[in-house]
Amino acid sequence: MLEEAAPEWLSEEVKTGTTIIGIEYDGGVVLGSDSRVSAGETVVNRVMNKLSPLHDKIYCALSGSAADAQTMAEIVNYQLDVHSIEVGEDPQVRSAATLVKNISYKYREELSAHLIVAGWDRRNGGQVFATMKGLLTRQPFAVGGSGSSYVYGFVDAEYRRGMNKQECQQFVVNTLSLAMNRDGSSGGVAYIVTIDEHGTEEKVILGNQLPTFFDQ
Amino acid sequence: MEKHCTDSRVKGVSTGTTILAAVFDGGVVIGSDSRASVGEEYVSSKTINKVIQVHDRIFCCIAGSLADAQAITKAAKFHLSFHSVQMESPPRVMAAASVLKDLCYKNREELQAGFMTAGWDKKNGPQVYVVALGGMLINQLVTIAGSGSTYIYGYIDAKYKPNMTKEECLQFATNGTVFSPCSHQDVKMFCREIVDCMKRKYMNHSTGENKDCAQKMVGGIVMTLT
Repeated sequence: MLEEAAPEWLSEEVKTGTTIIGIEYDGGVVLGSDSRVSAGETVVNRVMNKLSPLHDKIYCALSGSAADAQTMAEIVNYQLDVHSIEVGEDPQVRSAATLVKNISYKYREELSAHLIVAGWDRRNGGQVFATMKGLLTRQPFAVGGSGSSYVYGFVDAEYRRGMNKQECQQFVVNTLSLAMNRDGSSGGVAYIVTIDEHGTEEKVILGNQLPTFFDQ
Repeated sequence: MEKHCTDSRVKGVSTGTTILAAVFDGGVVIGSDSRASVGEEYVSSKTINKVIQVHDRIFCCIAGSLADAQAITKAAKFHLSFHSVQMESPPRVMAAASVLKDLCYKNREELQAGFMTAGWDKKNGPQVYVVALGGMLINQLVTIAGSGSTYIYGYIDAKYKPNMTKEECLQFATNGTVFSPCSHQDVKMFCREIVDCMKRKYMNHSTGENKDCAQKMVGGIVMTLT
C-alpha cells in the first residue's frame, strides 16, 4: 500500500552548505561565495547571494544555517547603522566584525552560522575578519563553509602576500570553482564582491564561465 | 548506504593519513606521510611505512586500520607471487589491484582499510588503481586517500596535469602531501626511486625538524619504463 510521505526537505533544516572566502589586498578586499542552499539532500535555492551588505563598504559572507546567518546579518546591519550615526562617520570594519562576534559569542550554543566580515575603511584599508563561534581574528584571507575543507591545501599553496586586485579576484574564483567541484553542498554560480576606497563592485560568474581544472 | 558500525571493535592503531598516487609520463609516483595514530590524538609512530611492496614493480599504499591493511597486503603478496609463478610472467597491476579488491569486498563487513595500487607492467605501462573501503575498484590517473586527503582535493584538481615529467610529478606529490594539514608537523615525505635494473636510490624529502631521521625511509616509488 503506497502512502504519501511528506517530502524530506520540508522537515530538514535549511543550510547554506557553502564555500565562502575573503581576501585582502593593498587597497581593498575581495569576497566570494557560491550560491547553493540545501535542505538535507535537496537544493532549495541555486542562486542565492550569500554576500550580504552590512554597510556601504562592509560586507559579510554567510555560511552554516541559513536562518541564523541571515538574521545575524540583518541585526548587525541595523546596529551598524545606529553606530555610524552615533559616531558621525563610516564605521570601521573592526566594529562590524565585533558586532557580529558579540552575537555569535553570546548565542554560541544556539546559533550555527559562521560569518566572514570584510570591507574597507579609511583607517586600516582592506581587512578580513573571521568570526566563528565567537572568535574574532583578522587574517590576510579566510575561508569558510563546508566546501572550504577541500581547498585548504590549495589556498595554503597558492596564497602569496602582495597580490593585486586582479590576482586576488582570480584566486577567489579559482578557489570557489575547485570547492564547488568537490563539495556536494556548494555549487551554482559564484558571486564576487570587490570593495575598495572608490566603492563596491558586485559580480556574478555563471556556472559555465567558471574556470575548469583537471577532471578525470 | 548504511554506515558500517565498527565501534564495538577495539579501535586499534589507524593511520590518520594522507596518501597520494599519480601517473606521469613513463611512471608512477606514490607518496604518503608517516604517521600512525591511536584514537584521534595520540600519535603512536612517526615513522611508519605505509607503502608496501607487493611485487617487483607493484606497490600499494594503505589508509585506515593498520592491522587490517597489513593482514590484507600479506595475503595479497602471497596470492600475487603464486599468480605470477602460474602465469610465468610478472603480474599486471590490474591483477594486483583485483586481488586486493576481492579481499576487501569479501570481508567488507569487518574490514576498515582502503588501498591504492600503483605500478608498471609491460602491457599497460604505468597505472594507478584505487580500492575504496567497500571494495570498489577504479583506475585513475591521480588519487588521494586518507583522512588528510580532503584538504588537498582542491590542490590536486588545480595542479595535476597528465603527462608531467618525473621531476614535476615528484614535486607535485611532495607538495600535495605537505599541504595537507594532517601531514604538517612531524611527518616526513618519503621517496624512493627504482630505476631500470632495480638499482635503488633514496631521496630525502623531509619536512619539519626531522631531516636527520628520514634516512632510509621508503614511501614514494617512481617506476620508469624499460
